[in-house]
Amino acid sequence: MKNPGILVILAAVAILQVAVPVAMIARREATLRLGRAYKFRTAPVDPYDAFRGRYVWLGFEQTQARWTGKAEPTGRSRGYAVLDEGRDGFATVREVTSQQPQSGDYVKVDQVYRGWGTNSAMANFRLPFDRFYMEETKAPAAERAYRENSNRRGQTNYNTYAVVRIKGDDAVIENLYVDGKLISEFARQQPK
Amino acid sequence: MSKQHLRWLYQELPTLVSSGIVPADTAERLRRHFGEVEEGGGKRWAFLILGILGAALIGAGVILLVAHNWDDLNRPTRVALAFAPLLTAIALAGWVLARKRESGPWCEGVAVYWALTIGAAISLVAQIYQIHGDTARFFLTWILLGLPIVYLMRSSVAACLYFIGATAWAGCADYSYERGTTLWYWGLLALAMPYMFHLWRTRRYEWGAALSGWVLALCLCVGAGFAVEGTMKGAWIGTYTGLLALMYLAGVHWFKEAPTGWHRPWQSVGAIGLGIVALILTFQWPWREIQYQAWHEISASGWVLVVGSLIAALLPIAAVCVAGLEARAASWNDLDRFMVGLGPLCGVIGYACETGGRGMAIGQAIFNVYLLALGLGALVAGIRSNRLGRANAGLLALSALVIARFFDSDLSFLFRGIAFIVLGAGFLAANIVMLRRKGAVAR
Repeated sequence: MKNPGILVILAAVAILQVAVPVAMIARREATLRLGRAYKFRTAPVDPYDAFRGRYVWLGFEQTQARWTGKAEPTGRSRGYAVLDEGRDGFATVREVTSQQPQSGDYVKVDQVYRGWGTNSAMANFRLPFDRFYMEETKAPAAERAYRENSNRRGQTNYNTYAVVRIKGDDAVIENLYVDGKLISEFARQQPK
Repeated sequence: MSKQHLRWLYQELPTLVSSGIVPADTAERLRRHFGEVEEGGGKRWAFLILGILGAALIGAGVILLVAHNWDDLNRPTRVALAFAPLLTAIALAGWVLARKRESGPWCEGVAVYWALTIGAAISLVAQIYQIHGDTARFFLTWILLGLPIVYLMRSSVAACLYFIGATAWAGCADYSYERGTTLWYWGLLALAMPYMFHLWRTRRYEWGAALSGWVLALCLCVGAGFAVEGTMKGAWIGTYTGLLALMYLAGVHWFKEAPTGWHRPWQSVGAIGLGIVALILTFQWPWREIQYQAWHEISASGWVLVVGSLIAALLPIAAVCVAGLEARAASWNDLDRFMVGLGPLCGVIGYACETGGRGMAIGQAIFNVYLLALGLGALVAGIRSNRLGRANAGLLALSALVIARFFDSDLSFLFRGIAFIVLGAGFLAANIVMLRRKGAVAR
């Protein structure tokens, strides 16, 4: 060993490299254990775009809310969607703002831009959970089940939703449900 | 001296000694001075590359077997499996640093594996915990965690991965972040510069410096565009002309003894890039964009505007100053340095005229004349120094200009006619000179 100092540096680098994913895990574990669960209704997605390898591509009904931010959103802007729970038990976005809310539950959203015409007081946004990872062989069947059962406007069968745990500014998608069942269960029961 | 040159010298020495050109003791002293040429390097590299490939394939196979039962595994098991490649890479790196520190192939191979496992660990954790979205942040985390590998393992390939990752970050950030965020691209590149300077100082003409030079030069060509976009309208003109000219000038100054074209990435990328940018600027649309797009549509404000403007201004100014210093000591054969230095100057003058609202296509005209002069200059320099590659590059630039103007219908017939006559005369003159020279050599 010519230079023992190099191994000390290696140890420091190794600790840092392991610490970052560990911190990611710790944060998500805390959110999953302690966060409040919200049910987000899903929306139909482009069938050709829905399945991307190992995950189901999700779309949500909540993509627009009242804009209460200071600066004009540009489409590249980020913001905070303040959440409420509706009478039906599903999450609704009360408002989107540029300032981090001091109380209540919220999620960080991106691609915020102002609506136009009669929607000029509103802001469009993208929720930060847009995919649901599954094991490769199960994802296509799950995606098919999701697509065939996702909610469409004018229909009353609001039966597909994602459960998202929220704690502070962290949001973790816990599971995806179709017709009240876990998507993996639902996909398993579908005829092949 | 490169191994290739040394091998040639050692091959020639016995003949030189026997013919009395070099005394035997001088030949011996030369051998002692340069030392032995390392043989079998290629075999070692082939062995290591095949070894890494084999290990990667076995690893991928194991991952696929695990993935088959992925859903049946509980979360802690999945997390443990996600960390396994990274932890083995760290252990392997520790062994290499303790036992094989002087072995380039070992250091390079393990460094690449290590760098890739960081991305794999982050991706798998993100997948297990359903963390999505921000690709730019993923790249940033990956490359910043991987950067120490470049210094610890002294790995040129890891440096290449870092540059590619930084450029990918700039591309993703340009798409989804606020304007000006991509200016941090320069800062990211600066973090790897101490390693590059060390590499250029100690192993300038070895494969690692050449490979990382090519990758960095090409990444700069792509990343500079992302970095200045949205800072100030037309900022790319000053940035690209200045940057590419500086690349070329740095190349001819610091890499002039490069044994092959592979060892001259800066000259090659700088010259080809400047030719392409000059050709683009001979069209009307880049200048029209500056004139007609409203400031608020493509320009930022505050510190982003200040920094973007400084980069777009300082790069061409630096290039012109360096070209001026180089040209003072240069001979006619080094005319290319002066011509390259004119590129950013033309860019600045053209930009100033167009933003001044003159609306007379001055920038476009300047670059038509410049590309013509650049092509002719390379042609003349190529002919004078009997370098066919340079002469061909000049002819290529002139041909590109002719073709571009042929399809450009916005210029007046008078201008096009004059340009075609001048170019045609240039072609004829060049051909006559080259034919005469070839004839003289043949005689």
